[in-house]
Amino acid sequence: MSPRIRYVLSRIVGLLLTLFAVFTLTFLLTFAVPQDPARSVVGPKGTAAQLEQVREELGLNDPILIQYGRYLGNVATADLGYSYAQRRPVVQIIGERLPYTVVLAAGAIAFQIGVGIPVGLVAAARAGRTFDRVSLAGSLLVISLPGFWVGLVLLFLLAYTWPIFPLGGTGSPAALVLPAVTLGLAGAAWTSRVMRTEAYEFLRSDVVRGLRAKGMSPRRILLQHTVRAASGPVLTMLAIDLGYFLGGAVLIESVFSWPGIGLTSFQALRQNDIPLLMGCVIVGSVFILALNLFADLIRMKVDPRVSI
Amino acid sequence: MRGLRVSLGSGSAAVNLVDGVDLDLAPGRRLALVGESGSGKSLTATALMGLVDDPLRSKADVLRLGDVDLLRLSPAQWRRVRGALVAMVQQDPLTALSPVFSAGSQIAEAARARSRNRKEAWTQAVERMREVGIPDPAVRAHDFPHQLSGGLRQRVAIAMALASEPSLMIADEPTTALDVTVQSQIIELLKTLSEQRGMGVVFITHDLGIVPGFAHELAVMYAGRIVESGPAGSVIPVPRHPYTFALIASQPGLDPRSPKRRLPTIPGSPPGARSRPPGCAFAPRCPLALDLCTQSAPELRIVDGRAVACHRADEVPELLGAAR
Amino acid sequence: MAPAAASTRRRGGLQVLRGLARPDFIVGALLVAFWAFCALFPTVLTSADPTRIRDDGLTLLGEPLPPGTSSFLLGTDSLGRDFFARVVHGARVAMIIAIVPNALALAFATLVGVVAGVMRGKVEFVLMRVTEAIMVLPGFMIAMAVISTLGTSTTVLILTLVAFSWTYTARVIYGETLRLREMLFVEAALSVGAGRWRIAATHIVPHLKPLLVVYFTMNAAFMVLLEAGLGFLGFGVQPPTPSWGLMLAEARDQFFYPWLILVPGLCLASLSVGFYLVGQGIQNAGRPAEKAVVL
Repeated sequence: MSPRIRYVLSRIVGLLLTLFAVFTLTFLLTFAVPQDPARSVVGPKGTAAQLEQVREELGLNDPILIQYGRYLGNVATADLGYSYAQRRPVVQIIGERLPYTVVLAAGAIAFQIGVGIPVGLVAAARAGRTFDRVSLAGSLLVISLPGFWVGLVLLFLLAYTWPIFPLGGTGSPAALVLPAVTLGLAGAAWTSRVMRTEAYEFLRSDVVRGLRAKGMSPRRILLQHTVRAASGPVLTMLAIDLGYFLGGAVLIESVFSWPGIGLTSFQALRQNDIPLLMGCVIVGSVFILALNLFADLIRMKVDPRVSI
Repeated sequence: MRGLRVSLGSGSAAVNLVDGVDLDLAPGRRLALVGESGSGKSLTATALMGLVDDPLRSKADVLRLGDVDLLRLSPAQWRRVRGALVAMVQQDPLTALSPVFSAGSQIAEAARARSRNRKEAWTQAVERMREVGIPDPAVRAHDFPHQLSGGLRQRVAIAMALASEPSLMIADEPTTALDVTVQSQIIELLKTLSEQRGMGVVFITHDLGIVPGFAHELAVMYAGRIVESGPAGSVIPVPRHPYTFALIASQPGLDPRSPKRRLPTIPGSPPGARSRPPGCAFAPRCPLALDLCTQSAPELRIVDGRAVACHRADEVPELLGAAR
Repeated sequence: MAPAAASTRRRGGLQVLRGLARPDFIVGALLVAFWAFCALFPTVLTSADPTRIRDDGLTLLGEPLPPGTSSFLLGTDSLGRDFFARVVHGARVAMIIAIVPNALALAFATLVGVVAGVMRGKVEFVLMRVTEAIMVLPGFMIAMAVISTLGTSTTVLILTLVAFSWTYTARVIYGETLRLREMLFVEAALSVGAGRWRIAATHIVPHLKPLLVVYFTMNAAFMVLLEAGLGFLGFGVQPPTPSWGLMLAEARDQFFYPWLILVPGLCLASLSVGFYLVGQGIQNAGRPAEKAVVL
């Protein structure tokens, strides 16, 4: 077995172990909530007999380990339980809401790439000059802004004062713009800084000296070589960010009333709908984990020097 | 090249890292530019390629390659010259070759200056790899630099420099990062290529040991200036600058007079560019220094078939001993 | 020898101060100092009570007063409370959040990172898996769940913030510990027979100090923004204590009164910029402009 394959396998094993730990943690959390699940099902007016019957049905009287085993089995078969508040399977609800989160995440990443990478490249190429200074200062400022506040301000300016965009919700494609930009803004700032640092280093390396000695034009050096060489850490960062976006951007979704799993989890919490909340947590964790693994694989692929 | 100066800073705070260097090289001839680190030899090479960047500035009275007056070139014209007329091989091929592109594609990139066609450039690249002695070039062309041994990597770098058929190759310490056994192979390779193609070579090194058998001419740099330069056959047996003498004496094997004696070292270290004394820069460490030496810097003058910058150049062989 | 060593240490201290005299560090330090002052001595800037609903606080229609109206420097909020007072007092919450959970998280992260890096083997494996497991959880969601379950007391808030922010720093410290282990002075100490933990304490931890200082400042900004986010959704510090996040929540649909939205956000931004600039300044202390680190 080649060392590379061995590495990937060991990462997958690590991933499964982590997933296992995640499920265990969420399972324990369901016990931490003082809400009695039977009560949630039966309602405030249920009798004691009804409560007891529901408890039996839900298997709440079984020893913890049995419940744990049942829980793991359910999760493995994608049965995430039954939502108290909406009276339907959690997977169904999540299935409806997940696409919104995915679209938002995609939009945010597109913004990050489309803005962050070029800005970082140009800043490195013009290191020390105006563009570089301005973009460094600007990106620092952007990172310090609270994301949800930026969302509010954008809504205020571009949806309220000048009604260019809708005030939230998912009515039209234009409704994606403000939330995606808000979500991706901090990431774009980070991306541009990382890109700038990597490209700056590369442009001062012997490789570029050799390229210039070959007579290559600055533009070719920049576009063909620098992007490839500097992208490694940037792509890794983007993959991790994508993971967190897919994990549910609770704040942004809440500001823009965007019905993804972030907002769903918040609503579930409000309604004490534990299964739905835990379902969101699990789905979010899976995405974040998967993308962290993907980020590692990218790191391996992009830099052929990385040895296992 | 006449009167090359590479400076840092401006006005009264300006410091000349290279302080008036002249070099001549006839076609197909090989020059070894020797000096310690900090002597300015690498900067001279960088200036030869027109690659001196902010915050450094380079200036020369004359800089000509064949018919081309390099001083009058625009940046775009310089780009055409680089690679086509003059090419460079750097010290550490591991950091000088891009790790994300295969060896063949990097050579082909250089070859594309001569032939637009991708396929043809690749064939050219493989040919160059064969020429520099890489076994199995068609297969090896797909390898990445980190998959190749140090010697092979440097051969790839040389192939890359050859790909656009330059008239002059500048090798900036190409063997320093290699094992000793591989070093002589690379030097032999450069010598063969130079003879076969009539290509001039400027070989920059801190190691005088490579000079015999390779270089026609020798130029020794100290503290930004050339202190002795001339045919290797004249300078090495009878050095006329105390620094050259000391360099030769401290090379094991170069000085046949003392094969078994302890290696002499040169006490002290070269002055930094900001702290150069008013007179001869080597005077503080020179065993033959006089008051005159600390007061006035010696100019290069022709003595015994080579140029040397020492007030006591005539007396050096008697006072320090000739090598042969 | 001794006098030379002593003067080098003194010179070292002075050099550090001089190295910090950069524009970004100074601006950052001023910003942080300003808000620290507001947190410590709010009454110097305003005598008004941020939680008191004023009779003259609203217009006849029950709307908040805009900035500059009579005695209200920044106007009033939707309940008629002095907005400037709320802003100034809000700094207290922000600074407490910037320091307490931050220091705790950093301490815990250092513990985990160093132990994992020094002990290797099974301990390392378990610690790193647990760290990864927590890192992978959607922290914000769970933080909300935990707070809504365990209540909104300050202790719970601080512990939750710690629980979901130590992991990233722990990974970094672990990596750095590994790197330091490989260094020759550790090998040298081992060859002389020094014990593992002794080496860790005397060699590794001191070398971690610069990293820790930088991460303290960066995480301060992160913590403040995180609590603001929680507060915005109602899971942070509870009313009537003024916190900027909470003030933004209250202003959520008040687009007609823009100062209610703009001001708290600018406060949060300025405090976090301040921390970032301080962190950046420390990282770049004494480095020439070309070598400036930007992360």
